[in-house]
Amino acid sequence: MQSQDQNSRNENAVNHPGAAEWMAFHYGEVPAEQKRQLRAHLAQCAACRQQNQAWAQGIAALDEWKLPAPLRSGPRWQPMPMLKWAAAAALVLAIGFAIGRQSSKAAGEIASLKDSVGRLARMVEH
Amino acid sequence: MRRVKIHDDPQAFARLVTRWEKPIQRLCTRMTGDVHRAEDLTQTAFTRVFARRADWREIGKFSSFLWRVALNLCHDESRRFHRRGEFSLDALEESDGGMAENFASDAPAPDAHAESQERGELVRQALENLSGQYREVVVLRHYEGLKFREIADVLGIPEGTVKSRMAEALSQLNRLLKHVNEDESCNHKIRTPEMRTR
Repeated sequence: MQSQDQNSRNENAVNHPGAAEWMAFHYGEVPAEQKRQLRAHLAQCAACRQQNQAWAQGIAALDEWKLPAPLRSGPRWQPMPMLKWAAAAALVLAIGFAIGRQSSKAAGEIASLKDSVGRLARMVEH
Repeated sequence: MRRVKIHDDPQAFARLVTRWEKPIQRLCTRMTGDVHRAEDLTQTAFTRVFARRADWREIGKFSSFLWRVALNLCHDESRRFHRRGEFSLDALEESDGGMAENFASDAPAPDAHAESQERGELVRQALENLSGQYREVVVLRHYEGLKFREIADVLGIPEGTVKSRMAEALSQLNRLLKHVNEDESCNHKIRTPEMRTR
């Protein structure tokens, strides 16, 4: 035979609404009758009241994070966003190639050879 | 979306972007906590949706498809961000109430606006500390106002699981912010409208 205390505990355990029900309650997703029952339960159950107070504090805290105004507004859909990146990459490669040609050792040797050839040509002409 | 999928209609897609750009940008901002990264993610989300327009099934809601794509991008970005080590608030969870201590450590009493901004920043940090599966539920339900069953549809999980995650998220959030909330409760008891009896 169960003691009165155990009976009381079991009854409470059965009757406590679950977290899912409480979430629907806090966010207004329960029908009016269920809302009335849950409020009645809150009024008589200290444990649920304490738990729901904590959830309510969490919900209230969420409202404190306000977003700044959007940096850009209006539609800015670009059908081919990769195109601009491809163009930018091509430009960087072209500049890099040009700089490489100007500054590489081979480019220096070619310039020196051209200079020598030019001098030889002038000597032949004279 | 049907016109986009079948006819590759860019005008139709531009209309979808106009309709959904701001909600998606808000979602990405709440998920990443960074306005600039959110803008890039929003652009990427629409690019991805356009690229995957053939995957969209007409029986499903376009918005669910779009939310899902954006959320996946946010999770990927979050993982990359953590790997790079640019964000590390893990210590906060280990040292209980660390954020609250930081918040409370300002010697001079700030004005109301500054205090409000600080509290907002605190909440943003606390949310970033939640795991992605909790944060996404909070963002979709609390900030974007989706119903629990709509969130279940977006995430492909049972509605009861969504609600359980919401409850767990609020508990964790409350734990992270508990010192601040204790200060707050000295002044007044916080209650959601549903808890107020007439």
